[in-house]
Amino acid sequence: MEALNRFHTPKNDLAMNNRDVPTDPDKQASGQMKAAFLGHQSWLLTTETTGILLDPILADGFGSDDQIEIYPPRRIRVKDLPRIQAVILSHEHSDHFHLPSLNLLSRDIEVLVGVNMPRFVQQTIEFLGFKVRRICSGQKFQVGDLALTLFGVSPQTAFWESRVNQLLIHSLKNSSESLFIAVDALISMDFVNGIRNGEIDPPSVVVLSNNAQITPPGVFGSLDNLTDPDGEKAKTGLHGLKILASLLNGYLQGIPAPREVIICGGGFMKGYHELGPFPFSDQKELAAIATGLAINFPVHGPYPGDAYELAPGSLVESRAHYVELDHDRFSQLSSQSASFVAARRTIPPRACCAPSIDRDNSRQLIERLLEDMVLPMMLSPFGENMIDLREYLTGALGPKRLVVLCLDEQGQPCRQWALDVARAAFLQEEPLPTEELTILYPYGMVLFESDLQALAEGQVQIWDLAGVSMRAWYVGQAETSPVAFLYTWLGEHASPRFYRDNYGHRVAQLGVSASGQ
Amino acid sequence: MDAIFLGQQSWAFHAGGTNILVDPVLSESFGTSEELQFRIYPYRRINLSAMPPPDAVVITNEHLDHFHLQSLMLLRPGTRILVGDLFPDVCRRAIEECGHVVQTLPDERPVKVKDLAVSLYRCAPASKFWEKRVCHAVISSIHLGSVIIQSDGLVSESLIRDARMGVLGDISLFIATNNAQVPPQGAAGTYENLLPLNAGRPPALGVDIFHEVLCAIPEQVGSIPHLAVCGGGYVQFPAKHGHFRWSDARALQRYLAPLSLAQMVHIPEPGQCLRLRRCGDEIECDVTQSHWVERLDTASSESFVHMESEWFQRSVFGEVSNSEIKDALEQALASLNFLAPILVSTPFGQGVAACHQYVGGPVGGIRFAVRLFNDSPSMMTSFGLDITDAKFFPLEMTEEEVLTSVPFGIDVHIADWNALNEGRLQIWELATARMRQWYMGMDPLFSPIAFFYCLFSEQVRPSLAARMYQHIRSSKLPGI
Repeated sequence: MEALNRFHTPKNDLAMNNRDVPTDPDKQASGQMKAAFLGHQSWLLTTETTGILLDPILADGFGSDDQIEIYPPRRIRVKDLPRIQAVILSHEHSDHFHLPSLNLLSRDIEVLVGVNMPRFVQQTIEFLGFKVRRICSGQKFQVGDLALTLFGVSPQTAFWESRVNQLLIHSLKNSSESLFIAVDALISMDFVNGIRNGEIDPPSVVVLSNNAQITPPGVFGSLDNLTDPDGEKAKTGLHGLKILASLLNGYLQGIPAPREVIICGGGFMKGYHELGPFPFSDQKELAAIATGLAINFPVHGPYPGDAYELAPGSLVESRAHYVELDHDRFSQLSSQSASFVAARRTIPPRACCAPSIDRDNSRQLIERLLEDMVLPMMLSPFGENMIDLREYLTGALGPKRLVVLCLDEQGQPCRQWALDVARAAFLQEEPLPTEELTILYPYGMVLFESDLQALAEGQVQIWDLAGVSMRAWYVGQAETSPVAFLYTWLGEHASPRFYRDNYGHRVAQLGVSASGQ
Repeated sequence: MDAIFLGQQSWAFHAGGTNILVDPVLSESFGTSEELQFRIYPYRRINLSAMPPPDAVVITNEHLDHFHLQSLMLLRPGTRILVGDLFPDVCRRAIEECGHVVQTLPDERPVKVKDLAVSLYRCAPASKFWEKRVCHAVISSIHLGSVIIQSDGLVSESLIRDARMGVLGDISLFIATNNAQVPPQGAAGTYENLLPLNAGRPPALGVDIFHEVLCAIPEQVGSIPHLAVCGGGYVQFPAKHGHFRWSDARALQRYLAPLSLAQMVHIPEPGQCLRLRRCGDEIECDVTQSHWVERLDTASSESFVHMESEWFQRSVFGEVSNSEIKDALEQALASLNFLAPILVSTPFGQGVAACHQYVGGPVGGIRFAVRLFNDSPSMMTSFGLDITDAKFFPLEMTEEEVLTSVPFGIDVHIADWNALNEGRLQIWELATARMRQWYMGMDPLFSPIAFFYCLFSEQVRPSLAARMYQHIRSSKLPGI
């Protein structure tokens, strides 16, 4: 937490972005668009007269208490930002939709979202005092002298990324230099087909998301498998090369190779405090290697504040004066991660939330949560695999296939439920140690009771728990694991009620009244 | 060993003094309400007093044409009922409440039933969701080898392995299922799309179906001397249309038998008995007639076709009166809002959310609609699922506007929808009899009705099934 306070500044210093501030004082050639990287996946796209923020995280971190710090660490002087006409939110995840950041902006800025953005996001932003406009996939629109199109992503994308919109943007004065920002998900088929049909000109520059979030040996990743005997071994190896291959070869298949590529993403530190940043999340380092391994194909990996002007035939690099990189902390975090890996350290699971005093109430809340998820779970790809399985370590399987084990604050087993697929119900059982359960049940989740209760109350998001405090085991692929199911069922699309409450609470914390004041 | 066909997918096996029934529907029709019945076709009557009492009854799955509680209630209490290890618990309890004894067979392991052995093999994982818990039954005798009853789902690797490795002895007869249920010309099938997207049925559809059913599937387990096919053997009352194509056994026998070399294909009619006997190394099969199954006149069912506008006009459960309509609509909306987040979270819902374009351009947040009717050809009201909120909202649109602006949807009568959600009607009945749908895409397994088959199936909605079985046990349905 100390790290988070480094940039703690009086509120007036983070003064509201003002439309009267002159346009980007950085020199910008006439008519060209400039893309300034603000960290993780936040961008500021400008021309001389127009400014658009994409997925702005303007604070030092995000998450329910802004506890997830942006990496490389930087500070954004919001009052020095150029004039902004619009904010585009590609989707609803907390690393893209950040209320405290929006709260720093002038209310006459229009917020643009896809037609599939959860309604609670729109309502919450409107409550802050902004006007929200929904944009259909594939429909061209303009903001100032920038022309934009949002594209709904490929249906093959993981469910929880399926509402993402990707962005194609160019200056009206120079339509031959266009930028495609391929946020998070698999590349949009509407976009690919548009290029194939000749309706869309291939972009000259593509921004790709490196969301690999590789966890080194000793760190349990969100979708890791407790019973995978090769799990730790598989964490070693050429993961950096795999990331580059999947981004630069696999991902871009289907469209003509762009002239240049920019890699961003993975720019935050999850609750793995001992580790710090994820390996391979220094995009500049990765991009330099990629360029060395490529033939006449420049790959860029910006640090926050790096800006690129889309000049005819080339990208012209500069620095955005309103972003200040904390070089010392960057260097410290970078070596912390390297030494963690080198020393083969490990991170034990830890509870994210404080335990409840009323344990009966806690049990009721958890049982309700479990009861509600039986039906969607059995219908999910995870559920289908679970039902299909015939045998496990001890032989032929009975109808009990999945176990949920709760730990008390000392990390000792305290409650346990098993899903019986012939009854379509969770049944309470005497708790057993995790090691025994992994032999008896092919699928399981173990987590702190306090966290499961907080999940049931909508106080914590599943994204925050997976890996850090919750661990799972399963047979099969990560895409059909119990955690993948929870990402789906407890995500924003299927369970908006949890998020509506959560964001309502956040708005209250910001001290904003209904008029947005 | 005698294998007697009882209609649809019901069979009786006799060997020496041993009698086994498989998925018995013993009444003239099945169905869970008086208002909608499915009559076994070709029509027949079973003389229960002459039927040898079964030593065991095998239930391969919980669907209403296999697990027919009314028929089990006709059997002597204490009858031994054999089920697979994932047979829904709610179905097991319903059988036990009839006074029978349920025995769970471990997957792939035989149990003795006097002179015969029965084993159950769960179908292959690639089977449809609602058929994942279906078992294939294998009835084995020392002298005649095994009969495989391929009930509905795809054949699993383990059954193929055991058959090929000789674990089951010689396979003397393979009974395949034809579940294609192709309606007669001009009539609507269950998965019919109101949008004109389907390329239409291929002209040689029957060739494809029977190639799949009689070649592709049985050949996996090896060379089998005798094949039989059953399924699709019922007609609805009140009628939607006449019997399914290729459910006339005699005609089908005439088509298929000449296409085989040295392998016998049997298309039995109800009451026909396939008598298997060994002649040296060969298994011979004589076709005889059972004395306790009586064929009835079927002339009245020949190819009556109800055009779409006619069959959909009337609900199963009748009109909701003006005084009750407000409550009925509230009930319908509540049930839709229960299913909304589930729909959104499934692969079907993901496809719905990924459908960015529809007639006339990009679509907004409303992607799935339910057009509700009230015993009338005109829509009464409609609700739309907003994927941005995982909730249904009333749509202020005409019937036509809903169809042309929302890419997925169903048509249903309000009384029937509420009956479905109260456990008074099963989805299989409603979907085949009184539901229409539209959807983007060509794959019927990625349609609203396929999704509802998953959502309302007995395995995942035991409380609805429990209410249904309670109702069946306390009512006097046809055939009891």
